[in-house]
Amino acid sequence: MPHIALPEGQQRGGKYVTAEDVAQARSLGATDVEIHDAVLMAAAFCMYNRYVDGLATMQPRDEAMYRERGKMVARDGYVSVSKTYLPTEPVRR
Amino acid sequence: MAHITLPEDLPGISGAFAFRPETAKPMRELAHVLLHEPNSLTPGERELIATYVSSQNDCYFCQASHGAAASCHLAGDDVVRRVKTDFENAPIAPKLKALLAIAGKVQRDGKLVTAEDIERARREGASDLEIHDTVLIAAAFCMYNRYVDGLDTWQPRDAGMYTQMGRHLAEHGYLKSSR
Repeated sequence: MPHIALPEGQQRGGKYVTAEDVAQARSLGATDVEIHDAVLMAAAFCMYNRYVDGLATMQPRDEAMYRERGKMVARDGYVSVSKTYLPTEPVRR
Repeated sequence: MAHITLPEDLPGISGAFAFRPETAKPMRELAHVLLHEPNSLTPGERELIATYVSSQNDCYFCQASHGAAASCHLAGDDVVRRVKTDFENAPIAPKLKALLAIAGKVQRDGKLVTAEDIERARREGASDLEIHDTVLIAAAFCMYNRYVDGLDTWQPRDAGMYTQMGRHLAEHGYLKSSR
């Protein structure tokens, strides 16, 4: 896990990421694409987390459900899993 | 200098989009649906939500470019400035004030949104879809703002450039770069 320091700063705000954080990640072998993706993953989860909590969605306390879901996501990825709830036809409002 | 090697002549998020087109595509499409496609909230109102959240996140590039898009939609930058400094007393509809209050809480933490915040928005006439989109615009700008600042992208202090960018965004939306 070379660039763990990046997302830590990133979750609080993008300006917390310093040149030193990036230099450290590089010295441990991180590429530009890896640094880019770490920053974007941290940023994207600041969106997903706020979306889930901001709507007060139902979040069951059911570990077995998350284990099953985790297996499915690990095996099939996120686009495939989303087909289980996305409509095949556009929704009319 | 950005933290990674980005194309030199592309400001803010455009440089990052050019660096990684695979992730740029869904990010552009999300912004286009949220801010530009027809919706019961006007594009100007949705750009104001995006601008307000970007200013709370202190992201120069995003508040300047979306503020310019909002100004273009709303024919003036006074309302944009007033929404950023004190939206409760800005010359905007009560419904938009209630939605901005929700957006401000989402910007800090989704769990801060209360049933009372939602009731206020409903009382002012907001639909479930408008409340949903407000939460998602606020959440999405917590992503875009961190993406732009977390890579330390080039963010020129050039008002004319943002005015031009805002006009392009207001007219054409988010699917294609202006450059």
